[in-house]
Amino acid sequence: MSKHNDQIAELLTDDSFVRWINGDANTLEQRKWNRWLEEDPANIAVVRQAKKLNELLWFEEEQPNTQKELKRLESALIEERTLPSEGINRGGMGMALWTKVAAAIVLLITVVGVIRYAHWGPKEPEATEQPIMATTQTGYGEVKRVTFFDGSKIILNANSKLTYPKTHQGGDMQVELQGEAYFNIAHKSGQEQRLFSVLTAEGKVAVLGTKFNVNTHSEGTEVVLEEGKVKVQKTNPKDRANKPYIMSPGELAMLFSNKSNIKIQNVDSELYTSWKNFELKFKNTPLHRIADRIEEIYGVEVEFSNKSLREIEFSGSAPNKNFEVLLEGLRTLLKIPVTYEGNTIIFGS
Amino acid sequence: MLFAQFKTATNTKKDDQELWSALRKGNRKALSKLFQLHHKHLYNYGLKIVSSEQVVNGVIQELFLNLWDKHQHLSTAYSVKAYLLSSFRRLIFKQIQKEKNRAKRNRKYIEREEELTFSVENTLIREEVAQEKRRQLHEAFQTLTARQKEAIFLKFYHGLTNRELVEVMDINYQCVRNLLYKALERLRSHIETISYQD
Repeated sequence: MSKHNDQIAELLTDDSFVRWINGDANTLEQRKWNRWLEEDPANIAVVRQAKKLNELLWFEEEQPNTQKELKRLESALIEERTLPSEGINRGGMGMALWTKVAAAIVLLITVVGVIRYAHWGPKEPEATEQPIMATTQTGYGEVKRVTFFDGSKIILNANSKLTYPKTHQGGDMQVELQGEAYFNIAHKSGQEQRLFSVLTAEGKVAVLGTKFNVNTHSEGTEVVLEEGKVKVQKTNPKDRANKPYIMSPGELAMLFSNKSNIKIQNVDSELYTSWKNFELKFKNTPLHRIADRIEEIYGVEVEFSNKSLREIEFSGSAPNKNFEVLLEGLRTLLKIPVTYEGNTIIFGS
Repeated sequence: MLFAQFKTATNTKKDDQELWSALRKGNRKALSKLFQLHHKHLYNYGLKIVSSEQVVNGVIQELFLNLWDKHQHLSTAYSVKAYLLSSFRRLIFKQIQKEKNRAKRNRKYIEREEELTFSVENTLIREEVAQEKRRQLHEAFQTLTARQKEAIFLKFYHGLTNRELVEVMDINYQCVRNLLYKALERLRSHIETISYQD
């Protein structure tokens, strides 16, 4: 019996045999297998068994929405072509290609979700009209500045995407962020006062006017407040424990994607916002955190020659005007060999 | 009774070649057509490696955007399907790695490399096959290694030849045959009893 089994398994790994039992064999193959069949009457049973197993190996398939995905592809192709190169390309080392690929990737990672226009406070019925949204995004190694009509400035870090109302006529305003951005929101008083909010996958940051940094990554949304006051709240309003939190300057609020609470800690806000001045600052920062940061900004991979290097803490700053300058700065700061080869940075020798 | 998939697989081969050479000349419509022809198969393959529909769709988009970006530098492909599947597989693993790297943030270092899983939970067996057979084959399937499952899936769902499997799984010809043989042998020994029933 076991010999039998072996033979069937053997036959099913033979492309020609599989073609034959599926009726796809050419005449030469057909002749060959028919001859084989006649050689030994036992082979008839073998073929029957093989066919049975072949038929049993049927896989259920899921039906994707091909049309929708095709449309997405086609619009991405158009968008990529006409995208103006308004960014400050901190190039070097084939970054042009990276920027292109990253632009595509950023677009892909976009959560196809419903854009919520949940205004806080009273609103007129005609205000329900949905504003036209504009999107700006950055590739790896790229930083962009967006200035709004009211003087508010947003600096978008590498590999990030910001969606904002194109035709904003005053009043409350909401933007959506994926990735990292520094917000300097002009404070308006009296009649002009309005609420500015940033929506991320995990929650909302609402302000009247202040300076803060928002960074979203796989674990959640990280908000660091530099000046003024902001209100942070998780998205799920059904949760009763979902209370908003009013942040004070120097605080970091972490809105986890998988937990309902908001974690608050005191930090040196400069460590989180120095990127906007093309500088990376560290204070007792373990090397693996530095590595994560570089991976985020430049889309490169970082490896360690020695695992023990990962936990070593560093303090200081490295200029980050472009990739090469950063590498040189890291060499000076870390005092360990830093090599770059084929999109991978290696720390240590 | 034959597999519908096998039929389509053979018939599209010629179309594939024509579309491929049109794409290399910069024909955008050819890209869209290739997308339509292969989207379902790529999607189903991807879902076996990562369970997130969003990630799978994203990587498929990336794959075709890349194709368009470098269409001038594409070489002739002896099997378009194998080319797409292998590029797709590489991109998925890259994406998984990337997400792992991101997850490292704010977290203690996890030394253990997680092994690739190839899940065929909701797989297998046509409706008319009796419940008992279905259960047994399902059980048998779970005893296979991730790579064995993947090889069987590529061979019997996608209808790939061994040579195409070499390209997609990035292993040599003998390895492909051994992998398939071991997997089939194991499946056979588990379902021996059912096969002999009728």
